[in-house]
Amino acid sequence: MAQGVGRPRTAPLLLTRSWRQPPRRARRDWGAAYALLAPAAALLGIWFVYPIVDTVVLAFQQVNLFHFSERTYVGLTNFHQLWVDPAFHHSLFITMIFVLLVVPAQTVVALVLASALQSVGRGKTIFRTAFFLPYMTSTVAVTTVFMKLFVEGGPLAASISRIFGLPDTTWYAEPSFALPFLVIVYVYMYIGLYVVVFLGGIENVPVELHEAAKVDGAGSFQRFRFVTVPGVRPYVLFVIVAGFIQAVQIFDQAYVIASNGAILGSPAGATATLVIFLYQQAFRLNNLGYGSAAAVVLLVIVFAGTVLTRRLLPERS
Amino acid sequence: MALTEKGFMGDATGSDYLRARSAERVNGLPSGASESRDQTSGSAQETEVLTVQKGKEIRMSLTSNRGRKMLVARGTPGRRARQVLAAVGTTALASALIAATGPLPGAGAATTVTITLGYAGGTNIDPYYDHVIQSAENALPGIKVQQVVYATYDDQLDEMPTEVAAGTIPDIIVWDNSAPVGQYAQQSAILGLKKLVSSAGVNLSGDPAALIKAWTINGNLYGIPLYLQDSAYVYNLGMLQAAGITTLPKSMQQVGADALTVYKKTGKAGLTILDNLFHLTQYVLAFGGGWGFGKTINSTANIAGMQFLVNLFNEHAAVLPDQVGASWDGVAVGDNEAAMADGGPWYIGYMSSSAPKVNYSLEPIPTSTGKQFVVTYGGAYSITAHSKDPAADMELIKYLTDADAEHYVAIDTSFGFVPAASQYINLYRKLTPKYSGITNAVLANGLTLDYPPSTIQFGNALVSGFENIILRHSGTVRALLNSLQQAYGTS
Repeated sequence: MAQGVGRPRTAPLLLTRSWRQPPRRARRDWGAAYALLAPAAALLGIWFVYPIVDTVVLAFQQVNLFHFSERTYVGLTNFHQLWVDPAFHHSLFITMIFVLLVVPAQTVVALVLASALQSVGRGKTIFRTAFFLPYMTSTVAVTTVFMKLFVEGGPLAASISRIFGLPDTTWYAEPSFALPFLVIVYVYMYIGLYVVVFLGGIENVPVELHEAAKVDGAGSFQRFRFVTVPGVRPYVLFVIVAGFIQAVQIFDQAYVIASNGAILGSPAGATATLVIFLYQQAFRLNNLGYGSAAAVVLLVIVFAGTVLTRRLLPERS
Repeated sequence: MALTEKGFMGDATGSDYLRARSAERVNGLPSGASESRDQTSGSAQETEVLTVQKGKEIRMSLTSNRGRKMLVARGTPGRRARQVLAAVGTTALASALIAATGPLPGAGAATTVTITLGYAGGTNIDPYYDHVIQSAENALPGIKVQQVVYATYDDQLDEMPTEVAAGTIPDIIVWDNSAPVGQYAQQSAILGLKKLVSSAGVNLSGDPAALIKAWTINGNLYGIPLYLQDSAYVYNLGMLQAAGITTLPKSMQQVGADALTVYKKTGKAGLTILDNLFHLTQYVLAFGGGWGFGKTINSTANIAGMQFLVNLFNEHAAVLPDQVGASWDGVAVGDNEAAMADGGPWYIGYMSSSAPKVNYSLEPIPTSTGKQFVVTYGGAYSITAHSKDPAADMELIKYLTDADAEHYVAIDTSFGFVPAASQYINLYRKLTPKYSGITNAVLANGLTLDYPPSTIQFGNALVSGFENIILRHSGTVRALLNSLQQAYGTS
């Protein structure tokens, strides 16, 4: 009842100040705010909104790069073609496998590494920087170095083949090894970013909870399982969503692998991800409209995936 | 420390300089502008100077007062703003008048035409272009060349379609006709040069007829030859000797047998091939086939040529360069990872700089019948449809392919190309003994590249299918070529 008494006191006050007609000073402030926002909004419009809108328009057109201004509307033809194109289905399959391998791997490894880093007494900053370094390094450089490491008889390829009994081969040149190679390079590059995210989350978990669990006899793993993990749940959600959005757009590493004169998606389509497919269609095979239709499908996948992830994983810790 | 602009600025001091910089910020003239304006007021004459040094604009005011030049800040912000507005207004009015009335009489004589020239650069190539462009600019004072350098030739070919769409493709491009030249010509993205050649008086009689023929599509010429290029076969003599092979193969069948011997005796690949359209084409030609511009994609000879390669891959006697960690076939041969490859004169520059100790030989390509052949083609300057002044472009090309430029191709062996002009090919051969196996007779009988019209799409589908066969053991050569005939064939 006390709550009921308290609430109406503020509501009429708000209502008397009409939202439709703010005071003159507030309107002046809004004007200034919009004026200040205008340059950023204009840039966002030019660089983000316009390309998306134009891509959607292109998806319904047939466009020849050699005669770019002569566009023909073809309705849903491009989307129908995607529906029956085995190469597109293959790229969806490759992308799905890649995401399913990358997202859980980078989430779990990043969380474990962050947790371990948190318990490091001295030199935490050095470790944090070391983990973050690959994320800041050029994709081409990192991928090229990994290609040297995973060549037949190379340091890592030979060691892994010896330990796991796998054939010693050049990973990025063999269809069955190329995708795992891509996963390794990708996780290595992005893990540092998510370690830093998780470190921020872990530092927000009250120390008292860890101490209480310790007093109750919980070991390191139990404290990690029952204190740390629930404490960083919103961060886990963020890492999964961001990781999904990033992974589904994998391109650079696959592009570098195929840069040795081979066609994109080499070897034998093993790295033909969705973005590789749309890039190849749009810019190599001169099917800009078709490539744009694939880009629209990608946009829908990213949107749907993000919504689905948020629904399945409640944010509340 | 007081900053004094001695010599140029007389006794201007650092504080004056800073005031001038302050005035510069107030003026706010557009970046990259360059102007000089005189204003006379009483006994003092003011000159506002805008210069660009090390990529940064530096604008200063010179006040000449009884012979003394001083660097000073000028005017109040309000006055400056009015001056700027007046200047902008006057400039805009003048521009509008000029635009409306056309160029002033005689203005054409002083006009400099800027021509963009695109080519794939590199350590050996850049000095060549710097040299010939400088010579051409000296000979043609009205022409300024702006170089557009692509990191690699593959990058150039990848970027060109989008540059056509964006209207940013250079006026002139240097490429060779292993590229989809026919497709660009068909799409009117490059200009036919027949009329321009005759009006500019370009003499092509010194170029091999095969090369001119290679650049002629439907009766029109689409490139002015710069260098001659040909395919060939490269043998790593050390690897062959290690496998007990002492004589070079005379036929493609012998190449296959030797490749198997190398693999069995040394464990290394006998043959390597970069899986793209150009290299696969060499093998179908070696078996008497060819694409016939789309008419004979699934011919028996083509199937035999492709099957020859597939068999060698199945026997592990052949590898793709990236399977042995090489970026292209030359690296695999230079690193002693493969004994044979189809190649060309570009091996000469690479091997001399990157694998000088490797003993190799460059010969015409053996065929299934025991004869030998090369594909004769070449690099050329083409004018794009985007060009603003094709006549000026042709004038420039005339100088870029003159005797001096061709002589430079011949003597600069690291450039890696053979000169297009017949008179310098012998000189090149003399200076580059590795090329002696490719005689004038061989070049004269060289075959041409007869790709189907949708070259890019066809090449992509061919390589993709070939990779599936050799790496996934999925599909057959016959089925692949039949499907390609259906998709890209012409009647």
